[in-house]
Amino acid sequence: MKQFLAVASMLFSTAIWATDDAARARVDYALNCQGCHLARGEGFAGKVPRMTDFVGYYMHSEDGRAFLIQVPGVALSPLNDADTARLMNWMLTEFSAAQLPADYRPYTVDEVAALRRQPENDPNRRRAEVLAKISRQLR
Amino acid sequence: MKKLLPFLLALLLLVMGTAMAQLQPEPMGKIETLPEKWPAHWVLAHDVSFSRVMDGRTIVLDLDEENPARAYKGMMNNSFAAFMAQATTRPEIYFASIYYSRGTRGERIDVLEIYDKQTLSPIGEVVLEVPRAILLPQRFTMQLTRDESLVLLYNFTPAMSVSVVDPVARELRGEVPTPGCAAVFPTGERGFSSVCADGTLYTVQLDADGQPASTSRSAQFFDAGVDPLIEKAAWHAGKAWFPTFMGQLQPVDFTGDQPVIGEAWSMIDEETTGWRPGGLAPAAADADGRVYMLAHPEGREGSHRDPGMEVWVFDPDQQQRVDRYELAMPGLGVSLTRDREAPLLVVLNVEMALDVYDARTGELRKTVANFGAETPLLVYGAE
Repeated sequence: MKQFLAVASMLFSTAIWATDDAARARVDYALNCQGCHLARGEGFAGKVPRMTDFVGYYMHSEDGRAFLIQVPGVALSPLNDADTARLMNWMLTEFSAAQLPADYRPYTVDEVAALRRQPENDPNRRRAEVLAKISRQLR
Repeated sequence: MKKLLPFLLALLLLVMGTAMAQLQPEPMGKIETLPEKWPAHWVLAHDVSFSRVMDGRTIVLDLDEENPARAYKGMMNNSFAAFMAQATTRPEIYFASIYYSRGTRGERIDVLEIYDKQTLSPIGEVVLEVPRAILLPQRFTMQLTRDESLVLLYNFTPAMSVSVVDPVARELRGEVPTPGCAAVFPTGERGFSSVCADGTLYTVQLDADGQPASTSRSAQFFDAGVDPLIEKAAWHAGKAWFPTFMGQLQPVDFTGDQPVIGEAWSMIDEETTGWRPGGLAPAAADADGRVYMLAHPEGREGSHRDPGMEVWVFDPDQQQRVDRYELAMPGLGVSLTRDREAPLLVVLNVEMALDVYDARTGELRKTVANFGAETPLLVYGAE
């Protein structure tokens, strides 16, 4: 019985370890983003951009990559750089894996740290520009 | 008798007609106008009508008048926790109300309403294209620029921005994005700053047409993850003092084109260990720049909106508490009248009545209750 418990607890802690990043990202999302973006990133038409089956498109250009970190909700969030990087990488695969490019690279902490220091002051205009460019590229 | 009836009726009509001609009706429904500049001890109590929010009103009260009927000067209707701001160079008050086409539902219209201070009547309006933020009333959701040429309103859609309105031409000038930054603090002659989630200030200077001429971001001066700043600042003559959750007081000077962020210092000393600032309107300043702060003991995570048991008076230049007033009843908000001579400290108490204290001594002068307000959550001294 003792052995069984030891093995079970090892297995259990391994399982937690394996999903730790995703679980922490999900909690960070719930606490910091979900209020407006909703539980599965569906957003509100005309108010909060939809991320479900969409946000992965931004990874098709360097400018799009930068925009997702410079958008005020991300850049100014109270999360630190490492938590932000983990959250963004989780979000991209959780909400929009099918839209990611074949050569998709997750964000690095350094990349997030550098980009978020220059928050975007006019996100609506920039989003339109970035998406216009990506849609031309994908056409 | 049948023959007599028409005759009697004719006689009755004749008598009535004569009586009407002779008796002058007593004048009824007397309508008076208020002075252009309101006396210093008048206040505006904004009743958001918390449980029936489309039925808000702002009541004008004379705190020096003992007769309740005469103390009540009048009332202006507004809707959905209106934003309010007073002009000083024009006899005007501005409200930003929200209306729905079917009362509680239907198409939403946000409108800046211009009221005349002498008649308390609406004299104009500007329809706002961007929906304004909806939140409990606070002072820095709508402000005039220092030169009073523009009205600035905080929007949350949930993207954050500021609507710019010319109240004289009665025209909407535009919407300025304030990404990740909330509220409006007039900055310089014709600009504003907003407080950002990353602990910075975002400052926009506007040109004469109300368009952004320059934008800038300050250095980080607080960390919302460690000790959040309370945006409900005490304000006097372009200077603000922000309390923080843990009891720091953060001065910011908004008189120049760029805000000057001062050194924060602790309002808590050995005597007041464990106390924290809190309330719906926890801070206000008087005409001498003294800061009044609602504070409660045994502060904890989440107690930043708890009612205060005391009001502390600070001389912010000396970074010193100069007085400590025990309240007759716990308070949710503080306001000051504008005068230097005998300023009054108005405390909204937890029973939704106004306790009026002598601001210099902390002595309770009177309690104003039952003046037609259900939830007068924010009180403004007359400008």
